[in-house]
Amino acid sequence: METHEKQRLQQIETATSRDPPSDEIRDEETAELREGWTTLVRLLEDADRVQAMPGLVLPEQTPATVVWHLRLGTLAALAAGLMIAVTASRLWRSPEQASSSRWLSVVPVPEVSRSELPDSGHALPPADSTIDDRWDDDLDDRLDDLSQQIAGFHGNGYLLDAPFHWLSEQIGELHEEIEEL
Amino acid sequence: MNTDAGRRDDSDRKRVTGWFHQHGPAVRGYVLAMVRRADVADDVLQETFRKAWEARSRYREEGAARTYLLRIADRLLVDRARRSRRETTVEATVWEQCESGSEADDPARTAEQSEQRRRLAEALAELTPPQQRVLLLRYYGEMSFAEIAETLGCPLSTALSHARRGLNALRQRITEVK
Repeated sequence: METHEKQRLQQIETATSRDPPSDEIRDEETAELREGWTTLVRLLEDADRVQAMPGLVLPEQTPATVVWHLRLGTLAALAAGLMIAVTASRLWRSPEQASSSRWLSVVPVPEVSRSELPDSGHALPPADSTIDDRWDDDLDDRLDDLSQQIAGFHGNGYLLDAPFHWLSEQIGELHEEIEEL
Repeated sequence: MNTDAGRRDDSDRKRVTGWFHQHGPAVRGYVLAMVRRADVADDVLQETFRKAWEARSRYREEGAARTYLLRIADRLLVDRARRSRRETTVEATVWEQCESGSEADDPARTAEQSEQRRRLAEALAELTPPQQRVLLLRYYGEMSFAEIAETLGCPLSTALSHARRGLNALRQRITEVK
């Protein structure tokens, strides 16, 4: 700011301040400006003395807030409903799942003794009494466990994934809208 | 979340209502002096606080609420003036007719008020609209001239020139009346 403009600024600020110390108004020009200012102030004070202020009316809630709350409420209700449905479904499925989970289990084959085999004419190795030809490993148990895990995965995962994915999308959209607000 | 939003809403409401009580008369005084019509002044006052309410989340408290409100009001006046020039150039008699409605019970008081308004209207009529804006913002907002220049969107030197010419015009008028 140039020196001349600084002086002008100071002069006019002094002339138009609320209560300037009298020693600041040294020059005649500032005093004249002050005279014009005090005239205006007096007129404004007189006119404002009779001002009739109206009341203030603020909106109860802005429409955006109302919409936001409504959408949030709807989403919360939907989420709660879905959670209840999922929980009920899981409770309902549990006993059924327990009984039907053996569909993959292997039914033991009845033992057939060598003597009961028909004579087909083929040469067969001689019966060895030391070899136990029954299935004697843990394959049955492992298959059974695996089938239960797969059934459990289908029962829990697929059923829950879809609504949570949808909820996640909805929450994402809501977040974007809030950001825009 | 609703509780937080409600609490924030209450807090904002208190703040804006507080502004109305503290700065409302200054905002209305400024608008009234500019348009000289009480009904328009009341409309602009409401509109100013409605806008302040709508923008409450963006407001940063820096102890300059009055300046902030006067800037909104000034912007509304500029918009109104663009739409209808009549509102900023009504005669003093129209101002008196519009403003005196609520105090019509006491004829003596009404006459005195009308006289005060007439004198102010005549004095303001000596000033150009930019001179009025600069001096009225200085009076009602106690703004610095830098803030006034920013509000008007003009250089500081221009705002100072408006102030100087306006004050000289007012002084000239007093001298003539004497």
